[in-house]
Amino acid sequence: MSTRMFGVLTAQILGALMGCAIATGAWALYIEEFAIGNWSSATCDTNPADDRGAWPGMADAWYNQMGAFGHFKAGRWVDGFMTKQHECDPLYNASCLDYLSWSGYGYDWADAAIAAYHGTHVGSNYWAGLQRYPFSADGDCWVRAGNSGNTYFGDQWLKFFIASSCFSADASTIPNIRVAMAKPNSVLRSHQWDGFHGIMWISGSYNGNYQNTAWAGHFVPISTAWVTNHHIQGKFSCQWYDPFNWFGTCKDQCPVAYSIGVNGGDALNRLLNERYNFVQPNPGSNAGYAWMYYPGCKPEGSPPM
Amino acid sequence: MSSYISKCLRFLAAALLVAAAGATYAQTGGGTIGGVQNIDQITKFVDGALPPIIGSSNTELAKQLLAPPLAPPLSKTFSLPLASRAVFGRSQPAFAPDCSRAGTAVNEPDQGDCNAFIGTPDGPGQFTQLSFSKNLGVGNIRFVSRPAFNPNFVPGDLKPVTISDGAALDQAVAFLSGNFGLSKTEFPLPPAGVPNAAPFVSGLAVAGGSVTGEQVAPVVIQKLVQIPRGLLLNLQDTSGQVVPFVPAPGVAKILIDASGIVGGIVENWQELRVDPTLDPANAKTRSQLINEIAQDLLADGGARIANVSAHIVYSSDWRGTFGYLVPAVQVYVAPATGQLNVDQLGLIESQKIGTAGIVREYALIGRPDFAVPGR
Repeated sequence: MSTRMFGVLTAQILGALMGCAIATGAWALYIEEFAIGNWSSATCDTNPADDRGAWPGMADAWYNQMGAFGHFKAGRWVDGFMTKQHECDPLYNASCLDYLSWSGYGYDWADAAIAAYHGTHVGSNYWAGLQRYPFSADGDCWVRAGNSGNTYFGDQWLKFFIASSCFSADASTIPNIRVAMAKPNSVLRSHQWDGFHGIMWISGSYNGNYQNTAWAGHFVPISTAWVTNHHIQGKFSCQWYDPFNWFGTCKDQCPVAYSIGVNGGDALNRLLNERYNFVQPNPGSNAGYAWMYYPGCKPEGSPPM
Repeated sequence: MSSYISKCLRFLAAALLVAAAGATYAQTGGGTIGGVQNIDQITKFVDGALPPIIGSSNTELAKQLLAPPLAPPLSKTFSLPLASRAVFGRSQPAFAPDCSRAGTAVNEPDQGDCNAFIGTPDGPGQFTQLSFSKNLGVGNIRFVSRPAFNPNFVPGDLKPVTISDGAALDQAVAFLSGNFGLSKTEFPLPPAGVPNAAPFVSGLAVAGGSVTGEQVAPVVIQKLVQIPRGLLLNLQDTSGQVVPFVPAPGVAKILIDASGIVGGIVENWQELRVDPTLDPANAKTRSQLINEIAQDLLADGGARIANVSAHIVYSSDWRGTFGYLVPAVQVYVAPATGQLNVDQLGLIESQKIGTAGIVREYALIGRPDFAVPGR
């Protein structure tokens, strides 16, 4: 019996004992969390002004709720020696280890994963996420997705990826997100990428939004679960007299859900139906893509959608 | 070559501005990336953001905040038959076996939900579920539904939602108050004539494309109505500016598609009570609050600032079946604002700058016997 099969069976048995077993026909997913709250005690960004102590708790909320549904909690990685090495694909550099087992925290070992750390976007090309230490092979402190050539998810296992990170699904990068979701010449591909247009916000009071995403993602599409629970309308940067945005002085938090398929229609059908307990067959291609968003959503950092 | 040099010069200018950032900060025609501020500069930001209602003495403000008009809680107004009829119609849902258990094995209030549903959560079938807090003081009600999976879907099957924002808001208000027991008096609905008449309604769209040039044009498939909870206090500052509602714990969301209401979330709509141990005489002064907030931001990741905003809000001190109201100041720190341009984004990358915003709360009224962390 493989390590993965043993883990799945263990998870299902434990889930059943806890009275929250996923029903017959569903398949326990391997889940992983990669979160950073402290950069300043590492080397990539030693500025304490960039630390965000509450961020891992937000990712924990998703991870723990997924576990409560009987999925196998394959790894919770917070701070520590977080580098690009665990996220990048060997196609980029032979030292990349995204395929490594949970003991080596490779991103592509999980079926569903959440990452939580600072991000930016490099032009209209791709999202980049700030790590704690540089990757020894290239000295880079950023994981780089989209068409960077660094990241290829799904050729091993990773189907559903949440990037709790600024600009992680910025509208300007939409056409290229698909590139990191399929490795050239691989028949296996990733299914869905959820992130934010513009800047996102950190607070322990938002833990429930992540927990609710995991919860609702078992009953309605993950896409809907993500965008409904993370769209925070008219709450940020308001004038003091405008706590409910009656005067239009506020900004929003703008979630985006994204999928791939053989064409736009196929990608859209996956986007509108896939759940953590209803996983569609492997996408036949990443030629098509579809996304879900709130038109007019107005974040800090980027133009309105 | 000249454009390359020009780009380099603009990049250098942006870098110099951020390097020199302090009380002033980088602005290169796009948005703004905040510099790392010292305590004096943070103090100025916070002072500029705090509502002028918060003055040198806040005893009267605290008195007002400790006498809010609270509507009857969900534990008294939520009716399962009403909610069930609204969600399931004449169909009879199955109830999870643990619905009748409101306490844990160690006899503490169960913070979990009772689930009533029709269909199987897994697989491709149609499914509808109503979940609600076993102890309704927790304040969660969730209604989810989905149609059966259509393997032959084509984009032309998408049904645009055509309901107006105003009608969507009206439907949501009627549903939440009529079926879930939420009081309309705690909905901070905008009065007629304000600039943003529909602050709580958003359209949810899907779109698609492909590398071959295929375009799936955007279609708005849902309206999301999200109504934050507010308590009517009509706070007024010395200039006469009135803030009618004060934000309180809880948000209610309703999803409407072309067929009508297809989902609802009431989150954290807690049973709230006034804390009898809070004394208005212990209200913090403006300078005390500014100092507390500035010191906290400096100490814990909040010193990179492009903008600070703040509101008077209610937080909650959760007690298992209800929450004590905690008058507080909610502070939003944005490390970057506006629309960042390519040079600024390049700067974030090269200088490894964190841009995620921060939300924190600080109690307005002190407790002499113990310190309440301002989170």
